[in-house]
Amino acid sequence: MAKETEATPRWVKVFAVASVLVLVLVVVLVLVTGGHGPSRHGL
Amino acid sequence: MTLSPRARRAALTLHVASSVGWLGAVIAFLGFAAVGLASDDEDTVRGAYLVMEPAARFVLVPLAFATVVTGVLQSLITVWGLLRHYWVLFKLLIAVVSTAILLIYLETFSSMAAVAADENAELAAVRNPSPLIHAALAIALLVTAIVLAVFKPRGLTAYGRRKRRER
Repeated sequence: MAKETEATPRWVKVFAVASVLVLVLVVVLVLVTGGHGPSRHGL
Repeated sequence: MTLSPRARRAALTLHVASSVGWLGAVIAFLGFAAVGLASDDEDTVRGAYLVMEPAARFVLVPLAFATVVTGVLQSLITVWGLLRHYWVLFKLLIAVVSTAILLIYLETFSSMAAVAADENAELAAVRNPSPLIHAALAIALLVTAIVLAVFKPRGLTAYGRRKRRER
């Protein structure tokens, strides 16, 4: 195991930012397309 | 929790088998979804959406739960812990969030299967890009989890740092 430091590693920050961006993108897509769920599938 | 080396290897084998099995099953769903969108044969298209619902319920869901349970077990019987390392924490989040979305999406599978079973429904109404998008996103998440498990990038959480100082 590599020596651990106190600072938050850069990959964690990248992951966190990417996760937030994906979440925002999904929320925007859901809002723009007028909702999500089985009611709009297959129509 | 201490286990014999043989029991630890058995637990690790179960976790690898269930998580890689989950990824494989989702890849199969990507195939179903592609067939549903691209096939010219009506029975094949309807069949693709009909088979998704039971396959999700009896294959994806058990594999997802097995992955979460065996993953948590791994964290308890190894030095990594559940909340001490960022890579374990991210894997846990990926597994739990993916399982939750899968459970919610079961209703969508049922809805698509009902449309596919309706002989009066036009084929265009049966075809649905949603499973393709969801399967592609799920594959991206599960591959990320596997990469994290293999590379185990360094990084202690605040909880992990505190626990290390206490030792």
